[in-house]
Amino acid sequence: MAIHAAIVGVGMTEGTSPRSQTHSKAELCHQAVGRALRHAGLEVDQLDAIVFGTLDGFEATNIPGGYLGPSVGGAHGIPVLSLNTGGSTGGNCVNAAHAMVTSGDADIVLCVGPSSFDGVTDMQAVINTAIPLVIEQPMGVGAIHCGALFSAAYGDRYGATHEDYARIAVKNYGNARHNPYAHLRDELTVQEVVESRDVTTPLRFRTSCPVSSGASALIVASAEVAGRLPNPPVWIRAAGSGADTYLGGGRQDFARFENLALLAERIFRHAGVKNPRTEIDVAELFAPFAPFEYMELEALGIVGEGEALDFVRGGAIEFGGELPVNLSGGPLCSNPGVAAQLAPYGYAAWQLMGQAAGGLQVPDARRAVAHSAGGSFFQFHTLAVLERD
Amino acid sequence: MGNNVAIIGMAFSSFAEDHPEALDEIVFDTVYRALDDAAVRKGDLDLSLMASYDLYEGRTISYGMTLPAAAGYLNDEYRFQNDGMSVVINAAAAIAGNNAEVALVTAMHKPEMSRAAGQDTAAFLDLLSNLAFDPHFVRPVGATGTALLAMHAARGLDRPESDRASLARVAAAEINRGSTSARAFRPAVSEADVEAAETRCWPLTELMLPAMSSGVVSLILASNARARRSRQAHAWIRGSGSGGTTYTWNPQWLLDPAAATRRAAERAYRRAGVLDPSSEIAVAEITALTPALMPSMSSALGLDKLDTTRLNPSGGVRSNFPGLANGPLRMVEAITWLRDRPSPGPRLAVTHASDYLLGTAASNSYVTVLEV
Repeated sequence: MAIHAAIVGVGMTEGTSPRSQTHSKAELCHQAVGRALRHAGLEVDQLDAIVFGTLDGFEATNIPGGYLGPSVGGAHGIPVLSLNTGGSTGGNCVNAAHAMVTSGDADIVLCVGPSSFDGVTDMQAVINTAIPLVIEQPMGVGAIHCGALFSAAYGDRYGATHEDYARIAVKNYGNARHNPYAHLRDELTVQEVVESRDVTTPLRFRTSCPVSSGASALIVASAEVAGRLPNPPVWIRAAGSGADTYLGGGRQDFARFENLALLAERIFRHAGVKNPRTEIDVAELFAPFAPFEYMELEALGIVGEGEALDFVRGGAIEFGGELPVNLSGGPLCSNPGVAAQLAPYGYAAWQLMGQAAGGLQVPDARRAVAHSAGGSFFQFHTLAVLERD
Repeated sequence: MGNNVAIIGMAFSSFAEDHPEALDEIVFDTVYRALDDAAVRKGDLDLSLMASYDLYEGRTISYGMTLPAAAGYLNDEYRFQNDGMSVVINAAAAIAGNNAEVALVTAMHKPEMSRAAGQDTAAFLDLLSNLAFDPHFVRPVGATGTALLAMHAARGLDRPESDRASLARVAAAEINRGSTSARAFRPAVSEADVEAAETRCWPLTELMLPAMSSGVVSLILASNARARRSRQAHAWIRGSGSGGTTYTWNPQWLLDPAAATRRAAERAYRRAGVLDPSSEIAVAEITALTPALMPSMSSALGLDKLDTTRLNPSGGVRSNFPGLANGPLRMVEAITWLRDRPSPGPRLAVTHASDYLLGTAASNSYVTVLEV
């Protein structure tokens, strides 16, 4: 008999910058896990396993789950698995937990997204080591440059302007003002975003994600357990990941996330979603650069190629719109590494539980998508369709 | 998990101190041969899971480079930075939960260091181990996985029945048992050789510690339905279990380092229906990172009474220890041993692995019960 898995608890810490952070990574993980357990109505000794996300190279401690896992929730001798797939680590933590629960290997699995970027002095230099080492790495390519390549290609093909990108930033910063866990919550105008300093063409300071500090945690449980807990279970109807080539040249078309489009087809088919535009109520997408939201809307099939610009200009992805996107503010306002990659799954779950962080609650939201992405030239994507009864 | 998951393909690279090839080339070759062994194509795979470790491989998100070589392109995928047996268990879970039909597991260990170039691989691994301990209490005193293993071994020497010669005796027996194996990494030795070898961390000598090698192991797992339509089922995974430790927050790492193995074994045996392992298990390939751990690990696995010739016939980790690929290699060794000794009816093997970066301090243990 098939076992179904549900998200039953979510915990996050308040976002800030690594320089302003007054808590250690251990304290942040403890806070996030404690909040997730209390939210779920579970005790720590009820956990069967922990999947602990990590981004070695960024972290000040190798495989921090090794020493932190037993401390935050594994003191009763449960396995702590360290998962690392770059920018998709958070989503893949949920995928691994989903496999463990649906197989019957575990009833309750804790996913931990630590604050990965605390202590890094040069993010782009670290990311550069992940880039293909023959051509791109010696050129100094980092995540911001990979992001700019996609953004420039999209803008060039479809005529997107800085105002279009700024519109995404203004929306997300505005949403983040309601989210107590968001890092950046400035009140911005399109003009201010457009006039913010250039980072890497066409990305501006306000259309690029910050480096943030914070932790997140999420609990996946079997249907049997979920039925006994206080929150409405958020069922993981379909979840998966997809990997592209290591070399950027394998992308074929930088104006599209083809890998995400293929993944979305597969996940929506498994979830029985035929028309995502009408069947999805809310989306939390990992868009660390503002232009990515356009590309992700198109890759998910919510709109056709090149149609996202008009879709967004019409207000469709704002709170109260046809399909609100990133009501949390998304990674454009908070990007604490693995914590940020796990966060879309948590924010989407809160929406479906009717407990949206900060009050931007989509009325009667029943189905959501959650997404994470990263790696060399955004090699990796994860996607899940979440539902409530 | 029942009898839902089979191993239908397996392949391994050569094992060496240094490989001249790039890591992704070794991965590609090994995966290619595993697919060939299973008679499946890349497109038949639903899932590609991996065990590897960024910092050994000299770059962050090293997985980005190795995954495409491991048939990960456009596939479901993820990676654990734990022993590869954890990945086997998770891949089997994905199949048992109807999330995949055919899955590839690839585990590797190839530090970006070269003894041939005069670089000190052991020191490099010790440094990475030290950096995995908590930054406030244990790391500053210079702890490494090897140091904790040595502290555990030294504590055992206080007992009258245990001395350094007895550690050498256990290590020499393992090395000699495996010395004729095709995958053995150490030649036959005497107890005196073991005791006289370079002391890595007192009381442990180089030959008492795992025989560190570089290499890659790939396994292909399939659902019951797919396995029955495949060329072969090398083995069926009848049960599996995992257990964790408590770091140094609790003295268990020193007093009872086999606790995680005991928990993992109880779960695996329960799922496999094994009641008396010593009599029901035909062969065991287990991971005792030092000879001092061998009695407690054997006991935790319920193998006290197993004929010693059936306990680590490959020589175990004292003959070949390819880092995160150790667990899958233990599975290959157990399966190969049984297949080379045909007899009527199904037979069971138990395989066991543990993480090693933090010694006994934060070391998950994994157990699988295989039927061949």
